[in-house]
Amino acid sequence: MNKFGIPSAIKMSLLLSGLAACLLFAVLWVTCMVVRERNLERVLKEAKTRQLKANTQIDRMINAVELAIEDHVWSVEHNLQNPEVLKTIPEQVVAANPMIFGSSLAFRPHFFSSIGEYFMVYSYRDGKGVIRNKDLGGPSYDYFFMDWYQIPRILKTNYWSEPFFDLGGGNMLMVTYSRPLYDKKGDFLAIFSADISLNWLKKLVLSNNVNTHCYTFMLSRNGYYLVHPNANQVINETIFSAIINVNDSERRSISEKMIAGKSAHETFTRGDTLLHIVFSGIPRTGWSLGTVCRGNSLWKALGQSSWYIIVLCICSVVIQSVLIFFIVIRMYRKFLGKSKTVN
Amino acid sequence: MQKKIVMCRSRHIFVMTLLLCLGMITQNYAAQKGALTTINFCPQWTPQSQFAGYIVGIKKGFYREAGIQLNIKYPFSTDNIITYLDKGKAQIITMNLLQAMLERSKGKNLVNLMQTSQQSGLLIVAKYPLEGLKSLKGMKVGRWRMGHSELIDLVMREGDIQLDWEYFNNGINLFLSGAVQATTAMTYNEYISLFEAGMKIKEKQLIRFADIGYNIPEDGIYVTESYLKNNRALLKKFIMATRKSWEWTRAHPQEALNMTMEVMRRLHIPCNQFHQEGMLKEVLRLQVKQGETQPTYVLNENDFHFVNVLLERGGFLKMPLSFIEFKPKL
Repeated sequence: MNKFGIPSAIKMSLLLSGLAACLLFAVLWVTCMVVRERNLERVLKEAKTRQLKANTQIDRMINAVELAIEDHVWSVEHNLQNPEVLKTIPEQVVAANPMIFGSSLAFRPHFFSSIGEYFMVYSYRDGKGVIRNKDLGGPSYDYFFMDWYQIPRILKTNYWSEPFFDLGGGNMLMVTYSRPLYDKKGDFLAIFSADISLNWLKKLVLSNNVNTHCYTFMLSRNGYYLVHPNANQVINETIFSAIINVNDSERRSISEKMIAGKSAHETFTRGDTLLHIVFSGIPRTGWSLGTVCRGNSLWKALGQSSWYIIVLCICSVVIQSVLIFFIVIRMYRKFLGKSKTVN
Repeated sequence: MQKKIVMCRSRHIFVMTLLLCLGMITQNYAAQKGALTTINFCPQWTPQSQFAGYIVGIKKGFYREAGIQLNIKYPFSTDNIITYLDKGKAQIITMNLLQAMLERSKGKNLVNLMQTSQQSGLLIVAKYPLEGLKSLKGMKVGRWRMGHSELIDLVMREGDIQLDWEYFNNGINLFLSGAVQATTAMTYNEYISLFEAGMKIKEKQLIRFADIGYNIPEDGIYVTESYLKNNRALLKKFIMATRKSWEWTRAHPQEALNMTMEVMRRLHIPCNQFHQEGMLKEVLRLQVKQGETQPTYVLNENDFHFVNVLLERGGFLKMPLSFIEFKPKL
């Protein structure tokens, strides 16, 4: 009788309960994995969509700035003999375009022999939004050797500068769009430029975050952070500065693709965490937009509901075990009763 | 009653002593404060760890201990540092040895107080592998408008090389944009920036001036002869405090970096740990003469004569300069 007694029934019920619990957790695990993959796919798809949207908005802004300058090029070209009229053109650009902080017209050395070596007019908005004009060129502001003037002059192409902090001017992060101007013979005349603040870009990019487990950032042509959730990184760090000493080939390859203006979805690891990055380039400026998401973000994305699932599972395992126990005991009793009758 | 009087007297004595002590402390503090001599010091560039020693000296109070109130006046990148001495904006400046010798030859009464750099950090980096300076022919080469101009001219003249130069203010943007195919750079600054921008640079793309026979000292500290004559004791203290500051920097590089980066951030100058750490490491390396282990902070007479010969050979000097006049004893 002892061979098939109550202790054996307990053992049997524990075994069955364990088996059932294992099956339940296995099903749950597989479901979670599938959901996680689906969730990640959804998140990354959303990131790509948002990036596309952001790129379109950035492109629209860039286009607007370029057009604002383009619209006034004819005015410069028709007034080359009249410096007084030329002086008013940057002001017109700023006045007509609220997104432009400042505009300048900087001529090649000695263009106006009567004026001297420098001829640069600059119009900008002061702290109160009033448009002010300045004659900037001079030995203390030798614009001929500044990136915004020099690079487009040599490359003979329109140029978006690297970001800079405009200390004493707008006291904000800015970029300059430069458009070289030529005479009828094709000789270089001047650089016509517009400065825009990067504050709008910051708002746009940071609002692009898909969820709390993803973050979006933006790089300049040379790899400097233009926008990053950690404000200390902006124009201080490049995407390479943190990885040069650690020899991280995965991240280096991604960084190189980003500053080359490519678009892709790739993965890399940081510590034990698998991370996904979706990035796309903005060809006209050479900037690159990236969104990083944690690969194992589902559990955290589920947030508080993950605890409900765990509690629910434990409860169901306990109830299931109790039920199994009673069923097994009952079956054993029946079985023992029958065997007694037989004996 | 008598007890009360005694108590009252002792209370008076206590209060009087307290007041006396307070008075003495205040007087001493005022005297100490008054004893500080203000010196305006102008390094040749905007704040960065190249000048960490001076920032450390102020933050750690080494100059104050020496009775000096050191004010660092950073120039704009387009400023010619010599104008700071001329206009009286600074009493002490840092300058490149070769440039200082040329200024003296032009009649500026500059004298060398200390020599913080003993080796050259100047190099040319190109987009393509180089085989000597002659392989730069046909390339547009970027070079600074201010600083190191004379050495570059001299080297090119000696090598009979004429290049298509493009002058610029600072940075690496001209090179990275492709506007120039090669550029001048410093091992402790632009060279590090290139790595930060993701460039993979091989040794073959570099021409280090130190490797082609021009390993001449760079940064030194200069004052005018007249200032030296009138402030010998003060300048001795300044030298001692500066040595102490640089030695502390060498022993505590991370703390020195933190102090420097704090100043940079305050002035909105972009900075990061990688760049500033690399710069400080290289600047400290250049402070030690090749083959030696410790910095001397003193201008070596042989180095001076070597530069004298170079400048004479290059036609920059009609007559060699005198070492004793250029580096007078304090």
